[in-house]
Amino acid sequence: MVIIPKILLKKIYVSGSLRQTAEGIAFDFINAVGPGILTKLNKIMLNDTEFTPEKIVLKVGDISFPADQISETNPATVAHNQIATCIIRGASLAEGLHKITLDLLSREVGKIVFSVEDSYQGDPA
Amino acid sequence: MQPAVTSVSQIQWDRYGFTINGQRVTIRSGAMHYFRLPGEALWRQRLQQLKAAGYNTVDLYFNWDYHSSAPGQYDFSGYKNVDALLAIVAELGLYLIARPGPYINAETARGGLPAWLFQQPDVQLRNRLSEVDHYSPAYMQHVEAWMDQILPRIACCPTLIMVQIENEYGTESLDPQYFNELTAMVRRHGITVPTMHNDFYAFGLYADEVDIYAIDNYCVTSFDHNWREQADVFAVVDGMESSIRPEFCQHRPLMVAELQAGWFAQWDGPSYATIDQSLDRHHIGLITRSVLGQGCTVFNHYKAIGGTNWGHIGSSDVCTSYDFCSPISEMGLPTNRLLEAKQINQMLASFDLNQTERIDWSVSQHPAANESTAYALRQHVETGSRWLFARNLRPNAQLIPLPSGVMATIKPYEMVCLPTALPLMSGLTLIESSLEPLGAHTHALVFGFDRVGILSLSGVTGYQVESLPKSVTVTCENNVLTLSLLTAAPESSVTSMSLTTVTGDTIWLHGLGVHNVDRYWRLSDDAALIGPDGMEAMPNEQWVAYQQYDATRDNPTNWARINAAGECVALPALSPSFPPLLEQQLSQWEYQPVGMPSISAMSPLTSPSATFAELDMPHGLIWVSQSLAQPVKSIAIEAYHGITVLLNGHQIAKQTHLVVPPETLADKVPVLTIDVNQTAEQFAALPDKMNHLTILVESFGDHKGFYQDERLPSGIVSLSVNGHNALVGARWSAGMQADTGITDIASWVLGQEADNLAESALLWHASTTVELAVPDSVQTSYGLVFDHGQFERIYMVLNGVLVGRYWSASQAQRLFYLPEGILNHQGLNEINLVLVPGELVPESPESVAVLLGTIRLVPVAQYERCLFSRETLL
Repeated sequence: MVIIPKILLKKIYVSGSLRQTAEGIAFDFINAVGPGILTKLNKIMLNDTEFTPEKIVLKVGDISFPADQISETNPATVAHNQIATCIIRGASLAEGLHKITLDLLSREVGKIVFSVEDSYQGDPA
Repeated sequence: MQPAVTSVSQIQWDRYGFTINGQRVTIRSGAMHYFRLPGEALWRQRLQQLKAAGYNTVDLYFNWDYHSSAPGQYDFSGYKNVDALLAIVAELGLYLIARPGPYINAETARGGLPAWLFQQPDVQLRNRLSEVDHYSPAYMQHVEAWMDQILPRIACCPTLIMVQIENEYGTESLDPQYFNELTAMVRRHGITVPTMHNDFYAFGLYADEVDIYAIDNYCVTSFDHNWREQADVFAVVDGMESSIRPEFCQHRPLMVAELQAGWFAQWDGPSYATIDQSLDRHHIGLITRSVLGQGCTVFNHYKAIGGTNWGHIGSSDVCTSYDFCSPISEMGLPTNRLLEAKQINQMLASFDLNQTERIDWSVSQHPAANESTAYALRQHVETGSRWLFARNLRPNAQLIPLPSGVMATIKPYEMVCLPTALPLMSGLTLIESSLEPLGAHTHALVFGFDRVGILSLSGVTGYQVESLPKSVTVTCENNVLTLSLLTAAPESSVTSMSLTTVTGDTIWLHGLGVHNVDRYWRLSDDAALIGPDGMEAMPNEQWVAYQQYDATRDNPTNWARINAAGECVALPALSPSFPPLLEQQLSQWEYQPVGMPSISAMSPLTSPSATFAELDMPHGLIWVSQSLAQPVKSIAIEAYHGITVLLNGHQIAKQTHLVVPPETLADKVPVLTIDVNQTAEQFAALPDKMNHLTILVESFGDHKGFYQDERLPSGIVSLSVNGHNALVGARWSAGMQADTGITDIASWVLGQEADNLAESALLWHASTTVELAVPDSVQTSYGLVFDHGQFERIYMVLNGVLVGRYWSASQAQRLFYLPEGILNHQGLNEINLVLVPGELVPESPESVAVLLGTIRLVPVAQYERCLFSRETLL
C-alpha cells in the first residue's frame, strides 16, 4: 500500500467539501499526484460506517462512474489537477466532525488508502 | 562547450544547475544496476557504451542485501567488487550519483534490505510503523554498519557529485530525524558533495533535509492503453517550473532523479516486446526534451542500462530479465531509445542550455500554428540566445513559427529544441533554425538534413561546397548564409560545406541524412564518427565502433570521421571479417530424476511455521515432510509462492502464487485446501504404516517493499491435517538455495526416499555442455530460447550460476540472456536445468525429452568491432 503522507492529503482532499446533497453525502478530492487512472474503488468509510461500491458514485467533470462498475477494463480517469466528487448515494450526514477513509486502486501506484477529517456544519440557511 | 570530466574538486549549485570545477555542466545521467550485471567486464563495457552515447554521469544504487548475507558480514569481492566498479567509473571520467539506500526498491528482494535484518530484535524497518514515524535505534545501528562499509568506498570515487538519502521515502508526519542521521553518516565519512532525495510524489517530501530536491517521474506504467491518447500524460514534468520550482527549487536546480527511460516486465504483466512497442524513442525524446523545456538541468534516465535478475536478486514480481526496455538493453545492444537519448545528450554537450529562464511565447497570431505545440521559449540569461521547445502530441504534423515567420514542421509525437540568436564559434551566430542541431565541434557544426527546413547563420563571408545536392539551396548575402532543405537528404548522405567566417576562420557545416543522424557519434570537441551502429568510449581517448552484421546488407556501410579541422573524411569500408555465428539447437541432454531427500536426513522444524525467513533461507526451494500416524482426510496449506504436495510419494495437489494482487497485500496468504478423500483416496490411509506428507515449496523471492510488503512471507505459514496443526514435529531440508545455483546437485539427483516411498520423481534434472568459439573481433550476446516446452517451471544454471527462471504460465519471457563472463565465449560451458513438471509428469528420460521441447542457443545480435584511437581519428 502506498503511503500518502498527511502533507499530501491536504493537497488531495478538498477541505470543507463534505456536504449533504440531494443525491447523498458528497466530498471532493483533487488529483494532485499525476495522471490518474482508477481501476477500483473498494470502499468509503465514514466514521465507523462502511459504504460499498454499489452505494458510491464518482463524478469527474460531466461523467459519472458508478463505483461498482469501475474496473481495469472500465477505469475512471482523473486527470492531473482535476477535481473528482465522491457521492454516497442516499446517505445522510450529521453535523459535526467526520472521519472519511477512501480505499481505492490506482493503475499507476496500486492500492491507496487515505483518511481525512472534515466537518459538516449543516446547510447554510 | 563542456569540458571533459576530471576529478571533482569543487561543486556548487544554483537554480540553473551545477557548476563543477568552475564550469557549468548539464548532468546527463543514466542508471545502471551493477548487481544485475555479474562481472567487471560487463560493467566496463556497458559504462563505455553509456559514455559513448553522450551521458556524462552514471547513477548507481548500492544494494545492501547483495553484499551482506549475515550480520557483520560483508562481501565486496568478485561480482561484488564495488571498488573495481567505481575505479572504472572514474577511469572513464563519468560523474557518479551514489544511492546507498539503505532501502533502494529497484525491484530487488526486500528493496535491498538484507534478509537477516528482518530477524533482528527491535528493528523497525526504515523507522516507520504502518504509516507513522517510528524511530528504531536498533535499525539505525545496522544501517550505520552498512554505511560504514559502503560510504568509504563511495567517498574514494573522485568523480562523485551527489549522494542520495533514502529512496522515495514518505511517512505521515515527516519526522526529519532519520534523514538528518543518514546525512550525518555521509558527512562523517568525509563526503562533502550535495545530498539529494527523490520524491516519488513530487510534493516536496523532505525537501528541507537535503541539498538537492528531486522528483521521480514515470508517466507510463500501464500498457493496455496508448499513452499517446492521454492528453496529460506528461502532466507532472510539465508542471515542474510552475509548481515545483517556486515551492522547492528557487535556489537550487530542478532535478529528475528518475526520468522514465523504460519499465519493468512482471510475471503477470506485458512482455518486454509490448513495453518496447509503447515506450519507443518518441517517449524518451518527448519526456527528456520536456524536462529541458522546464529548465531542468539535472536528469537521470532510469534505467539507461538493462540487467538480469540472475541468482535471487529480483523481487517476487519480476521475471528474470530486467531489461527495463532501457536504452542499452539487457544484452548490451544499442536500442532506438539510446539513439534518441544520444541525440539529446550530444546537443547538450555542444550547447549551453543551463542558464535559461522561460519567457512569454504565443503563436496565436499564426493561424497555421497550434498553440499547444508551443511548449516553452527559454532565454539564456547571459548570452540572450533563445531555445524554442516545440512539442507535438498529436497524430499529425504541426507547424510552429520561427522568429522570422518561417514555419517549422514538427512531426507526430516529436519534440524539438530549436535555437535562435545562438552565438557560436569564430564570430558565427545561428540566427534561427527549424532543425534541431545534432552537435558542435571546435571547427564544425552538425545538423540533420533528414527533413524539410531552413537554417540561417550570420558572420559568414563566403562558403564552398563541392557539389550541392538538389535537395539543398544556399544563399549568402550581407554575411548571412541561409540554407534551405527542399526535401530530406538521402538516407546515408553527408552534405558538407566550408564556411569562411568574419574572423577569417574556416568552419565546416555538415548535414546528415536520416540514417546518419542516428549514427553520428560525437566523441570529443574535435572528433566524431559517422556510421557505426554502436560505440564504446574507452579510457585514454580510444573508442570501439560496432557495425552490426547484417546478411541482407548488400554493400558495406560507408563510415566517415570529423577531424580536428572540422572536415568530414571518408573511412575505408568495414567488411565483416567473420562468417555469421549460427544458433544451435541444444539436443544432447542427459536426464536424471530428482528424488525427494530422505526424511531421516532432514532437520527437525523448530520454528512455528516453515517460512523461508524463519528457516533462514532467503529464497530457493525447501522440502517439508511430516509423518502422520493416522489416516489423512483433509489438508490445508497457507503458503507462498509455489507448493507441490505429495502424499506417500504421490503428487496429489499443487498451487502457484507468483503474483500478489496489489489489493490483497499482506492481508491474506493463499490457502490450498485438499480434500484427500476426494482427490487421492488410495493414498489417504495406510492403517498399518505411517502416512508421509511431503511438500516442495518454491520461493520466487521476497517482495520489494514499495507497498510495505517486504515482510510478506514466502514458504508455509500454516499446515493443518484433519484440522490440526501438522507443522509440530515436521522436518525440513533445503533444496536450491545459493546465489550460485544448486547447492548440492549431486545429492539432489541421487537422493532417494529412505523409506522407499517415492515411486516417481517429482523433479527432473537435465544437463548438457556447449562449446563456443566467438572470434575476438565479434561483439555478440547469447540467449537461451525455450520453444514449445511443457514443463511448468525451469531453473537454468549456467556454469554453476543460476541465470534464469522460466515460468510457462507467464508470457513475460521466453528468451534468457546468458551474461558474458558467466558464459564462456571461448570454451566449454555446462548448462544444468531443474525441471518442474506441470500437469504432465514424465516417467522416463524419453518423456522428459518430449516435454522439454526445443531449446536453442541464439547469438542475439552480432557486431564487427573496430578500435579507434585519437591519433587515427584526427
